[in-house]
Amino acid sequence: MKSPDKDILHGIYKKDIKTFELLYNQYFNRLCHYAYSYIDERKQAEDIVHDVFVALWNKKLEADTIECISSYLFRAAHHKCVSYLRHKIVQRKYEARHSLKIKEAELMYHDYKNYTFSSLQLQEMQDIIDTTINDLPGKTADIFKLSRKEELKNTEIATKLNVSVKTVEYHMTKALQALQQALKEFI
Amino acid sequence: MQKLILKYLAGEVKKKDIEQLTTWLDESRSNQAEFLRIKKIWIESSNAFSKDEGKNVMAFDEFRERIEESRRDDKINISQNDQKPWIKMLKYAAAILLLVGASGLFFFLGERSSLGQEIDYCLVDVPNGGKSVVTLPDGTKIWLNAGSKLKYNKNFGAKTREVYLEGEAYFDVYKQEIPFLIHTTHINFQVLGTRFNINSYPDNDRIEATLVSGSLKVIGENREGYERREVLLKPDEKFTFYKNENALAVAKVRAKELEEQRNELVTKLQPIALARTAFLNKDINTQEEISWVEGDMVFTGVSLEELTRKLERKYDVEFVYKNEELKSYSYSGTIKDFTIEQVLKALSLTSPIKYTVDQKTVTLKLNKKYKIDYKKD
Repeated sequence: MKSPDKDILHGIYKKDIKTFELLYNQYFNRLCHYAYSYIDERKQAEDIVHDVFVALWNKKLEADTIECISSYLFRAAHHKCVSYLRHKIVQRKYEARHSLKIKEAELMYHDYKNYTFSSLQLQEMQDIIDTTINDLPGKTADIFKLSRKEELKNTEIATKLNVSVKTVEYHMTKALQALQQALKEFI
Repeated sequence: MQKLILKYLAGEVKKKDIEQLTTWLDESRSNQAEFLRIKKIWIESSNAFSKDEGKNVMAFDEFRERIEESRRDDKINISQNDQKPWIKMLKYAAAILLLVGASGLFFFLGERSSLGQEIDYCLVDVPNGGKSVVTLPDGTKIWLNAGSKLKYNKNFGAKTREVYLEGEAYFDVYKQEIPFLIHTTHINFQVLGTRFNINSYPDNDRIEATLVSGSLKVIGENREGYERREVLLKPDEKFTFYKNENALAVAKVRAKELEEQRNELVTKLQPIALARTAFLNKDINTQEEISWVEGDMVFTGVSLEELTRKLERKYDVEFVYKNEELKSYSYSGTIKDFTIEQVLKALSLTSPIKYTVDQKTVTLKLNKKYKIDYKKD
């Protein structure tokens, strides 16, 4: 399904700073979104992702330790998120929301093999998302972009566009369905 | 349901929505798959729109800073005799007070805050592969195991006796009116005068304390929303706090008898007795908790993962597992003053394990040839 990005892996073993710059460009945002889906504080989520890269930089690696860089990074981020969540549960007692997050993280973890893409596939996916959203009716596209690009909450979008939250939810679901259709070969 | 998932991902759900979503997820695998599909689209679409190069450049700059920092930290650990550059850098006024043990580090650090207030404290930082003995101003003696840190206030003993421990230490606390307080990441311990062992390495999932004599008060951490719990430990008892489960357990051990045996063991060199045990030995051995003070390692029914973590500290090496299943293998035995090669040899002779050494990295592999034989017993 995926061909490992040989050069990138080689660069990681050699601790080549240029390779890490490339990795940051390709994965930092993506991993932040991933971590942010579990951890409410953005700064904390970014911290965790930095930790993942720093640990990779400091790790003594053998030539075949990492098979697929995207799956490695997601797994590493995943572990850090889960231990952070567990720590939170210990700190603040039991919270239903946190334990659902952990459940979610576990599901995601068992599924990680289906969430590894080569650089080429990632690029392709991004292009498809771009085109799909741009092909949507104007209002649906606007609302979806406000949510995912500006990362506004549904209520914030509703206020901004002077529509009801229900309307926002309707358009979000529409956009999602279109993306599900467009990305069905990937996801 | 899609609507509910979207709301959940956007962080806009109420308590009853969470319950509904949890039930729905538990219902079927196809529900779970559906959820994951939506979540991936959620992450990827956000990423598609936020290809903000500026942010990535900034993030990469931060990465550069962080690896610089970690490189400096490494230097601090290695260069015991060359402190000048980093002392300036960290604004510490430091003077080496004492150098104990083979490679134990002992620092006297004074940190000055920007306001000119002095928050002086002492930090004992023992690198992997080292060991240290510390005598505090009140006469208390503390043996620190490899990879441990001990911090205490400079005016320790004046009004309070308080130390902060990360790692493993054997305490011989001098008896005084002032209570002696030990802080670890999750649990605090209070004593008057006694001998005991505390194991609180941050990468362990538990904190353990074994009491030899006197009494030891265990105090559950007093953070926000956290119930304060106290347990009084008697001699011959071992306390365990499980970090993930937030649970504690107290078990009976044979401490006194074993402490006497310990002295005997030190003079009598024992052969390596590494044997796989099929059961987890519930009968905890106090010898195991305090034996490293003398330079040997005793362990009963510990997993290979735990054992190699100890070996990593003792010999300053790193273990890499080729087969995850190896980690759960269970071992009992004694390791005296052997070389790492001897220990590895013993491991490979008594269990289906092959090893290769490359500088400081040891790779463990399953030896398929022997695996069948071991399954029989």
